[in-house]
Amino acid sequence: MRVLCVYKYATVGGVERVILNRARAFKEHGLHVKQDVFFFQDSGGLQYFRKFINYFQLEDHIAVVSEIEEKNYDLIFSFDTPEVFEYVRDTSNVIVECHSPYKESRAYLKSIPKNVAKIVSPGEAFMESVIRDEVLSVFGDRLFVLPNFYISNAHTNIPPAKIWAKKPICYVGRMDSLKNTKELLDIFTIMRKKLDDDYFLLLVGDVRPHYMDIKDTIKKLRVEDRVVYFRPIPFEKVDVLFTAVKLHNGIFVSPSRGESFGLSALEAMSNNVPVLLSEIECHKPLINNDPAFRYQPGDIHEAVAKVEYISDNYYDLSVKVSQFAAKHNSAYFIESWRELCAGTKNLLDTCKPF
Amino acid sequence: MILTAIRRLIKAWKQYGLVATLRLISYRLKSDLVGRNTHLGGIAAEMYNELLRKHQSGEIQGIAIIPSAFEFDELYNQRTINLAKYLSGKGYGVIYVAWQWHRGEVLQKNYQYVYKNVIQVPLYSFSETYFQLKIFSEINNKKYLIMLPAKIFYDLLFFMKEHCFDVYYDIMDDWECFHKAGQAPWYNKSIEEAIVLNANRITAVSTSLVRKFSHLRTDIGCVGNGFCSELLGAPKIALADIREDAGINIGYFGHLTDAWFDWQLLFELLEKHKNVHLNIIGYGEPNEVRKKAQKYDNLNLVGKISPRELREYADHWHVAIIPFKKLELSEAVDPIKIYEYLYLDLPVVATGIPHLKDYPYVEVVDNNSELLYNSIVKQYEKKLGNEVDYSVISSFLSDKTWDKRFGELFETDFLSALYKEEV
Repeated sequence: MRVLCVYKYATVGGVERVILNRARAFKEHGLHVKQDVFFFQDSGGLQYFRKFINYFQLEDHIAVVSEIEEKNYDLIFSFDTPEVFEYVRDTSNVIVECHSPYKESRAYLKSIPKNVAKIVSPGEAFMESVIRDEVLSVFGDRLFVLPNFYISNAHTNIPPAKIWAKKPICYVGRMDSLKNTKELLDIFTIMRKKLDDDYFLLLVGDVRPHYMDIKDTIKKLRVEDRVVYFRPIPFEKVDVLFTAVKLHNGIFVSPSRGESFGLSALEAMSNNVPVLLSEIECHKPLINNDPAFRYQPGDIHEAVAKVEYISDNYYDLSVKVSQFAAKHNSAYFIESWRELCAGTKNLLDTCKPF
Repeated sequence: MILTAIRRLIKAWKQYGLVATLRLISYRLKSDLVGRNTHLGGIAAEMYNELLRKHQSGEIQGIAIIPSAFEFDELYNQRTINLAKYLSGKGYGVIYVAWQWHRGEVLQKNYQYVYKNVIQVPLYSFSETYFQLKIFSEINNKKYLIMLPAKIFYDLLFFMKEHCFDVYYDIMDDWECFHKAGQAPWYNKSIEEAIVLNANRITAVSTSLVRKFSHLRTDIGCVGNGFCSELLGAPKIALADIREDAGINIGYFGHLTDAWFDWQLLFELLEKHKNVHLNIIGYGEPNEVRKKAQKYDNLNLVGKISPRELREYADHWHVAIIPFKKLELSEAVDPIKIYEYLYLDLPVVATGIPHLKDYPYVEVVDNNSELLYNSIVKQYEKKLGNEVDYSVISSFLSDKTWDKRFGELFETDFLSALYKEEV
C-alpha cells in the first residue's frame, strides 16, 4: 500500500511526529505500507524529519517527495492542508486528517469536497467534542478515529544524565495563547512563593513571537533565576529528554486550552513522568480522568496544590501514569489502521504484512 | 547629509583606524540596513560576514563568542584570551567581545583581527546588533561562552539558544564575593543563577565554586587555570644562589587591590625581617599603600610590566608568594600565577587559599607574619639545598597547560548532545 501524506509546513511539531511514528509502527508490525510525505514548505523541520528517517532506517516505509503524483497512491492523507484539493482530481481518495486544535485552522472543514473518503481525528475526545460539531452532517458516517500512540524512540547513545539539583516543572511544545503558557508561568510563580525552592521551570519549544517575549515575562514575574528555555529538540531525542526529566523527579504540566490529542503529555507519561493537565476533554482520556492529574484551567492555586501532591507521591503516581500510557500503543493504532483500510475502498489487502 | 557622513567617517577613521573604516564603507554600500543600525554595528556586521565567508571556504569550522573583561593581548596570560587562542587553533572564528564600562569607551583594538581568525568587537556594538548573528544560521558548530555573568550576556542567552549556539558558562571567580568587596558592580545573583541553570555546560576554576552552585547543578566540571610555556619562555630559571647579604628574595605578580591582597601582613613581615627583600609586580594598590611602601628599603613596587619582562625579575627570586586575605573570595580562586611560579621553578608560600596546599612545593600558612616568615625560610632552604625536584613540578604541570585544560571545558555534555547528530 502506498499513501501520500500532505502537510503545509515541515516543523518539529506534532503532525510530523505522528507521521514518523506511523512509519515506525508499520515497520515494527511488518505492514507493507509506504508513506510518501509532501510538505508545501520547509519551516526548518525538514532536516530533522529526514534525520529521523535515516536514524531509524525507515526508508522502506517513508520518504519525502517534492511533487504530488496522484496516480501513484492508494490514498492521500491531508493533514489540515486543504491546498491539496488544488492538486488532486479524484478527491474520493483523500482522507482529511484534522489534528489542529486551532479553530481558525479547522475552518476549511466547512468547505471540503463532499466526496472525501474519510474525516479522521487522532482521538475520540477531539472527534466528539470538536470535529463532529464542525463538519457538515453529510460526513456523519465517514468520521473515523485513527488514534495517536506512543512508540519508544529511546534508542540513542546518549546516557540520561542528572544535571540539575532541582526538580523540573516541564512543558514541551509550542508556546502560544491556546497552549496557555502564561498560565504555566503564573503557576510556577505561585509555586516559588508557596513551596520550597526545589523546582525550576523547563520550557522546551517554539515561543510564538506575537504571544509573549519569554525573557520579559519571566523578568516581570521575578522568576528568571529558575526558568530554563530550550528550542525544540529533534524528534528522536524527546524520549531522552523525558528520561532525564524523570531522573530529576520532574513533572510535566500542560495548561493548554485546546489539544487534538496531547501527544507530548503521552510521551511524558510513557517515560514515567507524572503529569498535571488542564481539565479539557482531550486530556481526560490520557489520564483516565483521574483528578490527581488534572486541574481546572485558571485555578492556579489548585494547580500548585496538585503539583505538591504529585511531588509528595511521586513514585506511585509515576507508575500510575505509565500504566495509563501503556494502552496508547502502536498495536492499538495498527488495529485502527486496518479498520480504516477495510472500510475505505476495501484496501485492507494492500497493506497486509510482508 | 554628505557632510555628516564625511564627518562620521573621519571620526571612525580616527577612532578605529583605516581598515575598520573601509569595512564600514563596504558595509554601507552593500547593506540595506542603513538607518536601522549604528555605524559601528555595521562594521561588526561586515566582520561577521568575513567570518561567514571563511566558513564557506572551509578556513574555519565553527563560530565562538567569548566575552572578556580585557582587550585582547596575545602576550597576556589571561583565561579568556588563552581560550580565544585555543579555539582559534581548533578552527573556530572567534568573536572576542571586549568589555566597555560605557558606550563611548574607546578601546584600542576594536574591529581588528587580533589573532588568527579572532576579531575584537566592543561590548555595546555586539549587544546592540546581536541579531546580525543570524547570518551564521548555516553553521552547525557554534558556541556562546559566558565568562562574566553580567545581565547584558544573559539577555542574549535565549536568542543564542534559539539560534543553535551551545551555551557555556565558565565560572572564573566568585563574582558575588567580588561584588561584596566593591568590585563587579554589574553583578546580580539572580542573573548568575539563571545562567547556571540555563547553560549547556558549566565549569568552574575551583572545587569551592563547584560547591557554591551545587544547589543548582550537579554536573559542574572543575577546570582550573593553566599556563602557556610559549609565553613564559624557558622553564626553571629561578635563583638558587645565596645573596651576598644572605637575604631572601621573594616576589609576587598580579593584582594588588586591598580587597584581597593582604598588605598588612606583608608590612609586618618586612618590618620584622629585614633580610626579606620583596619585589611586587602589578597594579591596583591603594594610594596609602604606595605611600607607606616608600618607607621600606626591602620593598620594591615595580608596577605593571609586559609579560615578556616577567622572567627578568623572577630570575632573581628564591621564593614566590601569594599573600591573600582569608576570605570566601580567596578560597574560590585558582590563581594563574601559581602555575607560572612553579613553571619558573619557584617554591611558593601562600595565605588565604587553602586548596593550594595540594600543589607541589607550595605551602599554605595562616595570615600571620611569623608563620609566613618561617615558611619562606623553609622554602628558601629547600631551594638552596637543591631539594626542589623539578621533575615533580614537570609532572604536576603536564596536564595544566591551557590546551589540556580547555580540552576538559568542551567535553560532551548532555544538553548539547540532545541537538547533535549521533554517529
